[in-house]
Amino acid sequence: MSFTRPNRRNTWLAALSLGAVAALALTGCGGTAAPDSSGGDSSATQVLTFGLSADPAQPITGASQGTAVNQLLTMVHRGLMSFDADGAAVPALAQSVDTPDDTTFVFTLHDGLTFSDDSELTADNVKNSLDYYRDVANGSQLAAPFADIESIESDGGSTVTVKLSQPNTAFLQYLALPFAAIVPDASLNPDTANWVGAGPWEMTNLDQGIGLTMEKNDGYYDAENIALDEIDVKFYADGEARTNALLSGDVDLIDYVTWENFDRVADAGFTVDQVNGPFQYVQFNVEEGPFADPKVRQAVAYALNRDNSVLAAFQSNGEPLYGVSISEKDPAYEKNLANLWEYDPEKAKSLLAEAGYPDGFPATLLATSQYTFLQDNALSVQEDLKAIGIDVTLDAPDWSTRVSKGNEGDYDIAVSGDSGMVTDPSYLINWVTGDNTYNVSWGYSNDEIAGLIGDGLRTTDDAEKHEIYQNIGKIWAEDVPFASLNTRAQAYGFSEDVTGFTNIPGTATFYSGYMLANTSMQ
Amino acid sequence: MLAFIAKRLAMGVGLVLLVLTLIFSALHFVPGDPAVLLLSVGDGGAPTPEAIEKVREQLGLNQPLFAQYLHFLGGVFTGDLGDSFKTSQPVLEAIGARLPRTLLLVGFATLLSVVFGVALGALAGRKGGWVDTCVTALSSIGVALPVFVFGAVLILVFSISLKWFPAGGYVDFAEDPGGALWSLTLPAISLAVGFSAQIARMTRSAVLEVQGQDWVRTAKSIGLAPLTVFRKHVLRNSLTPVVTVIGIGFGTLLGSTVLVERVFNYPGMSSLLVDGVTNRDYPVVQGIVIVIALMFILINIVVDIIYGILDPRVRRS
Repeated sequence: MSFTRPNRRNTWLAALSLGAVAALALTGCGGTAAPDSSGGDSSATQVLTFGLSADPAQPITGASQGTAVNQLLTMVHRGLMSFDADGAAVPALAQSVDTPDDTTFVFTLHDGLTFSDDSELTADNVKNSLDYYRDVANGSQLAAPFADIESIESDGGSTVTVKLSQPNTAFLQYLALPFAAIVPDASLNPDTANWVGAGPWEMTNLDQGIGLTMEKNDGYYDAENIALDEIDVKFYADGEARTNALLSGDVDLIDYVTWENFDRVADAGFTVDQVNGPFQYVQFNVEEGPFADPKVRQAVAYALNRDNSVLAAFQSNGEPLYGVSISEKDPAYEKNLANLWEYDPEKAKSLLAEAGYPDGFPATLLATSQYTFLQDNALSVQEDLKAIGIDVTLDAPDWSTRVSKGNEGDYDIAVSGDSGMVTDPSYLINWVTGDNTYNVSWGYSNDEIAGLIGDGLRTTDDAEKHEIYQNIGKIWAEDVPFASLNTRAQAYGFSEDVTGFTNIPGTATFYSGYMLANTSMQ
Repeated sequence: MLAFIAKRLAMGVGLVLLVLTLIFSALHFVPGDPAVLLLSVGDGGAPTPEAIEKVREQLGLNQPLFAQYLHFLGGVFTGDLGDSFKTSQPVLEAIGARLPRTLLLVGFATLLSVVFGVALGALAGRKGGWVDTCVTALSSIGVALPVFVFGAVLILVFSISLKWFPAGGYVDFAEDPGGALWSLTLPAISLAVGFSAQIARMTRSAVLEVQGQDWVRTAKSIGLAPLTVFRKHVLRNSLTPVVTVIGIGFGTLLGSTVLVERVFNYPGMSSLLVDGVTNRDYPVVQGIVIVIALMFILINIVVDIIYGILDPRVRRS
């Protein structure tokens, strides 16, 4: 008995060993026989392999579902407007946009537009899509920005006229968002995956967890200028894995290069196309406790060593931000708006003393361990606040719990990162309306700022808009709806085979997928 | 005997119910709303309350918790594990695609571990001296080396510098078996390094022990060639405890795939589970936990029954 058992095991192991050897031999053959992907028939078909930073959710029409979904939407969809390489809103499905007065927009569509399922795209589709997006009941993220729409009229052919109840200088920017695209009527519900569009490519093969294939949509209105026949998208949620895929030649282009890898990618001879985009900030629970006092919030704003946070979280791939982030191209921009406070711990201490806390107080700081840059920023903030006597305890759960705690106001202060949906500075409205969401100061509202932002959006006079934002800056500096920390660089990395791709500047960086329409492979 | 099997099966069903209830409660009591997460990934404006409500309604999250629980149980017993909140893919389909990939990775890693572990351990036990010292040192490093560190080094050397292997990703085995194994080589090696070190250690000590046995001395004394003695009488008898270690290690390997799948961007079941937890994708997490629980419970029942068949005393107890 004791002899037969080992015997059987031994035979089994021998078989396994043989199998292993065979497998190794096989893989050896596979490896040497594998064709070199860099050569071949590039002149015949142009294929770009894109390493995308997330395994995206199924797209829901009208919903903003984050960067990864937006990247894919820029490939399959087009709206009336799109963004150009400078981040300006330019006509897309609309051949032209006429504005006979400040509240009327007449969109004339290109001739013969179709969706990727070959069905016709009519002015009625445009009207139906926009009507769907502006209806609050549909849960669309665009309902608030489109609230000024009074009527949408289609002539049934190629013209759509949109009338606003008041001027809205950001309206065309919102129409350019990837989730504001014109879609078939059948997609206008939350159940149908929002894949069918009138964009340059169509999604043909989705392999959950692995990737998807985008094939050129010959019905696209500008198809002759699209060089890429196919975009092979592979999902890489992990930043390190994504970078490795680029460096090893598995993919040609990646989004969201992690900051610690900027130098590594550049040193290896790849392009790191970076722009300063989203901003990080400290938000407050103003319902109760010390942070309800604007003086304490000011103290925090003066206590933050922003250079340190940029170094700690982004290895200096970002900029300190001492005020509100406004695009330099916007009429509202003025240098001082980005410099509402300075780094002055002594002033911070005296502000705390004035507020009645000469010896400081304890507080909890909510961050998340899931996004290390937020945690690193939080660590920097924790040090700065300890220096002025605020004894900060760090609470860094996973992102899901962070969102949940933020939505319940379960924190004293929190570190967040965010950006405007569009570059127009009216995006700041989110932080002053009293909507208690996870990334705005809990319980904070300021009707005066909200009113001024509304005025800024309505005025078509650049000087007036500039003046309005100067006033907003003054109030913001005193009342501190949030204390800003820094803006961070967002980068794409790509090989020298990729030409024509550019990262759109500012917060429009998240819509850089539009630039794939200009991209070709060498 | 039948009564014994019935009793074991009934206990298994009870266990499954318990696991189902535990996993359902655990998920629903952990903070984090799937609807909010679905509409907010890292950056970007916060979703509107209307949008969140719409998604909650669509996912059935607006139902009372007990109704959700009954719906979930009903689904499980009719073979419907629901659809992923995030991707809308049926959970059974997702698991059906992912489980074989993870098993392939673990199987390949086990193969490598057995081959190299037994070979190195046998060599160390037989030769002794500096060979033994080297293997012992190597196996100590192998056991201590974190999988993700070793994986990263492998990628750095073999993918980025030498460009011999892909840095990760997935090739379908059915379409291209050679390519699939080729792309699996680095992940399997990083998974195997700790396990083969364990096997090497066990083989070495077993070989040393068996070498001192009477029958080995007898075999030597009757003039058999040393290699034949080793192969037929030492190694063969050393492998029984090694096989036990392999059995236990297989389970540990399944757990280690979480890190390896992440480092090598391998779309197996572990990465699906991690993403599911991160996204509070209840159906996915529940589904995977059920499948794993069922696997373990089934294996235990089968083992119990086999013991029962082999040894009548077990049946009576």
